[in-house]
Amino acid sequence: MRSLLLLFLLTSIQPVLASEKITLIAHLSPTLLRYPLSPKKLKNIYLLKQRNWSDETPIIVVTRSATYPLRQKFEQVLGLNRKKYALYLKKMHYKGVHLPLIQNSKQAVLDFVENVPGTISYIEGVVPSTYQHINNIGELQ
Amino acid sequence: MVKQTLSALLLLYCSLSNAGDYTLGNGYDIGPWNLSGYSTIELHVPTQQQKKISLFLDEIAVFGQARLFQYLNPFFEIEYANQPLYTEGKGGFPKAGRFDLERVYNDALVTSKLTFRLGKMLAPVGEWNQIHANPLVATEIRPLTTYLNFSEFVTGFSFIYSPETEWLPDIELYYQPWTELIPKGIKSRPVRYKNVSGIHLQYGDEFSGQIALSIQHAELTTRKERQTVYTIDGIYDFEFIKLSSQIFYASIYGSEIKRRHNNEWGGYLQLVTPVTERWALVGRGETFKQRDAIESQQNAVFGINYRTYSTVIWKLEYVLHRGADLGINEGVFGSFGVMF
Repeated sequence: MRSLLLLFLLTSIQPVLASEKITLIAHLSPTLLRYPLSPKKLKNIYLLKQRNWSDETPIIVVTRSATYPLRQKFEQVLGLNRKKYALYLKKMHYKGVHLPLIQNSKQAVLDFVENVPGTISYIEGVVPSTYQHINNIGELQ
Repeated sequence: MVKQTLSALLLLYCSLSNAGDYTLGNGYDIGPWNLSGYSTIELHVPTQQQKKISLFLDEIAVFGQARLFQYLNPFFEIEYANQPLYTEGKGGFPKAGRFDLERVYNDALVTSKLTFRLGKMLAPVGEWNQIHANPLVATEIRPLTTYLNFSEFVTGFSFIYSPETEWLPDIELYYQPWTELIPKGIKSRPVRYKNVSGIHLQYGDEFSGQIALSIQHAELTTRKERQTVYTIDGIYDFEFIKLSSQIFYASIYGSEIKRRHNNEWGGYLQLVTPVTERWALVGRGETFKQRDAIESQQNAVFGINYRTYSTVIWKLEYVLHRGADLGINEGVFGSFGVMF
C-alpha cells in the first residue's frame, strides 16, 4: 500500500519537477551560437538594455503574460522582483523602448521564434524536433 | 542593413498576426504600431486660505510608436490636460482643458549603439522628467527640482549612444536651435527657451543602482537671461527602502531686472518603503533657492500609495511648505492614475 502511495506521489510530482526547468531558446545565426549567453547578458536583454546581437541583428524579446507561472519563475531566476520589473518595463515603454512581445502559449512562442530571426524567449520542457530554426541556448533552474 | 530590414518585415508580419491581443498597460498593437496611454484624475484639498478644493482630469495622454525599418521609428505623444471636473465655488466643468503636444520624433538607428533622434522630445535632465507620467512616479506632487527653470523639452535633434558595456555610460547629446515646437500654455510654463544644448551621462539601472549627470545650456526668450544647469540624479534600491534624489545648480547670466541671485540651486531626497506587495509609504523633502525669490522654499511630502502591478495607482499625500511661493500648495492631495 505504502509503495503504491509512493509511486502515485512520484508520478504526480514528476510533471511539476519537469516544468521547473526553463529552456532558453533563440533564432540565431550559427556564428552567434558560438558565444555562450552569460546570465548578466540575459538579464540585460530582458531589462531592454542590450537590444542587438553582436552581429547587429536586433534582439526581439518574447515573454509570457505577467500572471503565467513560468514567467514569474524566469524573472525570479534572473533576480528581477516581479512588481519592480513590471514598473521598470512601463518606464522603458514610456521612454520609447519597445516592450517584450507577449505570447500566450508555448506553441505561440515556438512559432514566433521559429519565424523571426533574432528572437529570444524561454519555454518549459524541450523544443520539439519539428522546429528547424530554434536553438536551445541554455537552461535555467 | 539587410538583416535588420528582413527582421523588421518578419516582425511586422508576426505583429499583424497577433493584432488584437491586449494587456492593460502594454498598449494595443496595430500592425507595426503600439498605441498606449495613461490618465490621471486628481483631487486637491488645500489647507491655505483663498485656495479652492478642486477635482480635475489632470491629463489623458496617448502615445504611439512604430518599428518600421532601420531609419524610420516614429514616436508621438499628445495629451488633453487640466480639465476641471469640479471647483469649489464654481461648480462642475467651469472651463475647458487644453491639448498639448508632448513628443513627436523619429529615431534613426545609425548603428546598433547609436540613435539619431529628430523632433520634439523630453530633455534628459533627471529621471523624473523623462518618466513624468503619473502612474510611473511615486507622488502626485512633482518636485520643483524636476521641472522648474530648465527646458523640459527639446525640439531639435539628439544623438543617443548606448554602449552596452559596464564601464561606459549611456550618452545623449542634444541641440535645439530655435524655440520649442508648440509649447505648453504660458500660465503653466511661463519661461520659454531657445538655443538649448545639453549632455546627459547615465550609469546603471534601477536594479543595480543608477546615477546620471546632466548639463543643459539655454537662452531664455521670456527673460533677458542665459543659463547653464548642472544636475545629478540617482536611484538606489535597498529592497526595504528605495532612495532617489536629484540635485542641481544653475549659473545665470544676463540683465534681467527681476533676478536677485546669479545662481539657483535645489534638490530633493525621496524614500519609498514597500509595506505590502501593493502598498507603499512615501516621504520626500525638498529645498529650492529660486533666482527671483528673497528666501528659499522647503517642502515635504508624506504619502501612501496603492499600486496594482504598475498599471493602476492610487495616491494620497499631505504636502507642507515653507518659504517662497513657487507653486506648491499646502494640503491634502489624492489621485487615481492608470496606464492603458
